[in-house]
Amino acid sequence: MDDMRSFEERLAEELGRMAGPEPPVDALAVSRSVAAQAPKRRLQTMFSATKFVLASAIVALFGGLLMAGLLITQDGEPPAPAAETTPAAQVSGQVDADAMPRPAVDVRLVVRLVDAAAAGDETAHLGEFVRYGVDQAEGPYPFTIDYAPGEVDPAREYVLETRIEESATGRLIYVGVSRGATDGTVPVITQGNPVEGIDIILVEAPADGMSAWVSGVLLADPGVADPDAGVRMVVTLSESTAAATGADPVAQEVMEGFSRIRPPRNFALEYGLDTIDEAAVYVLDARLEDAASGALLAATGDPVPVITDGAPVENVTLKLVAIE
Amino acid sequence: MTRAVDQDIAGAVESAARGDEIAFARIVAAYDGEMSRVCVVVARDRSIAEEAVQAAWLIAWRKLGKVRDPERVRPWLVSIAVNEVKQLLRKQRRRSQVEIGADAAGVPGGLDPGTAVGSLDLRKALEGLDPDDRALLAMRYVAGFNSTELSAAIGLTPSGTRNRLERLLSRLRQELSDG
Repeated sequence: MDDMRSFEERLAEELGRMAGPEPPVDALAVSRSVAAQAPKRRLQTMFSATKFVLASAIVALFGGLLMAGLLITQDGEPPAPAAETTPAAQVSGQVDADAMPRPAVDVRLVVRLVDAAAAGDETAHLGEFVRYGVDQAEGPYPFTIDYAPGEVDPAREYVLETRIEESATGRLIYVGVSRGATDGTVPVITQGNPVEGIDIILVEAPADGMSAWVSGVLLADPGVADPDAGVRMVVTLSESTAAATGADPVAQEVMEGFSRIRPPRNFALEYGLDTIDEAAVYVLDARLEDAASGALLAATGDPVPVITDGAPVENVTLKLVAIE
Repeated sequence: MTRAVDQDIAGAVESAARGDEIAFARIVAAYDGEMSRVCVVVARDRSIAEEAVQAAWLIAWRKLGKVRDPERVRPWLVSIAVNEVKQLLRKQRRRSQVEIGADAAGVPGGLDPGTAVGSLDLRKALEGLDPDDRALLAMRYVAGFNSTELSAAIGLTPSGTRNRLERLLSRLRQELSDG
């Protein structure tokens, strides 16, 4: 019996390793995406009486407004003009999703109208279109972006920035270019460029927007006590001189909660390929610390080189040793 | 995922069934990770697992109103994801073009061969199982299903499920001792 229990514990540990860490998820994006694909008729659950009262109120309101308008015009006064609003302008077109290899609900399609001089600055857009979840079978996706004409200077150049990105991480997967264009810009509005019928196709994002993973397993020296709920594990990927220079880590994974961090445990850190200098040395280390005080309870010995100069990016073993 | 959280989620299930996207997002946040981990074990391929979980969320959104006991939503969701991943694997097998690799297939993490030879044997044995058996083990030992939840997921009686699990464990142990 004990043999079976010990085998089951071993099995559970191994299956836990195979399962790996929980991937990040943008729950709201998933929710919006599935809701968009299969909308529910929310009024179905409303009582008929409530619907009746609501409909009556709408009829009474519009009827009242209509009568008021008729009474005024009967007195010979023209109806008052509607409140003056700044007329919005629009730029529109479609994004061809044929480049997507398969449907994805965990991505978002973003088309932004930006001043060409501010391209790349997410906060500087004049308007944007966002759609969660992309399926090439549903495409091409029409888009319309409203903008205030007063914000557009005819002497300046404006472009559309189109991207497909992971909802949870923002990682860039595809970028949009004009069909038939030789470069990645999609100029619009000014200098003779169009405001409608803009045809955008997707191409894979350039390498500098891509990311990769470094992964492995965390083991613990027998001297390291099983962590309780009040501790956290931090695995850090950094450039080897970061401790001396005070540079920020390249990536970090923080794990909390007893069941999640009890070694042996897998880890996987995502890093941007554009943050890696092939001539530099990168290292991984891990530490177990008290979540409240930050006091160090256990740590890896020497940092483990990874990524560059033939060092591994997977199956990296980090072993925690108790701090006396 | 604890039972207390399950009870918290019960309210979200009722709201989501009426079309509340924010409530549905709470359910996604609570269970997506567990569904993904179970599917990775079954598929041994992270991208197939992701695809299965995405498909499972769409099914869940459509059928949430039919969940009779909102506190049992966790095993229901994991079962949907497992069914989806098995379907994807069947389709892939029919195409019979892709041979699924082990760690090279995109599942992060692995073992230091020097420190875990026994684990490597066990990993190899698990990878040699068919997806139905890996699904049974993943639901039991990754998602922590009890025998009632397992039996509902695989369509056997609780005693039939226990027998199947015991036979599977015995077979695995035998393979390891022979190897």
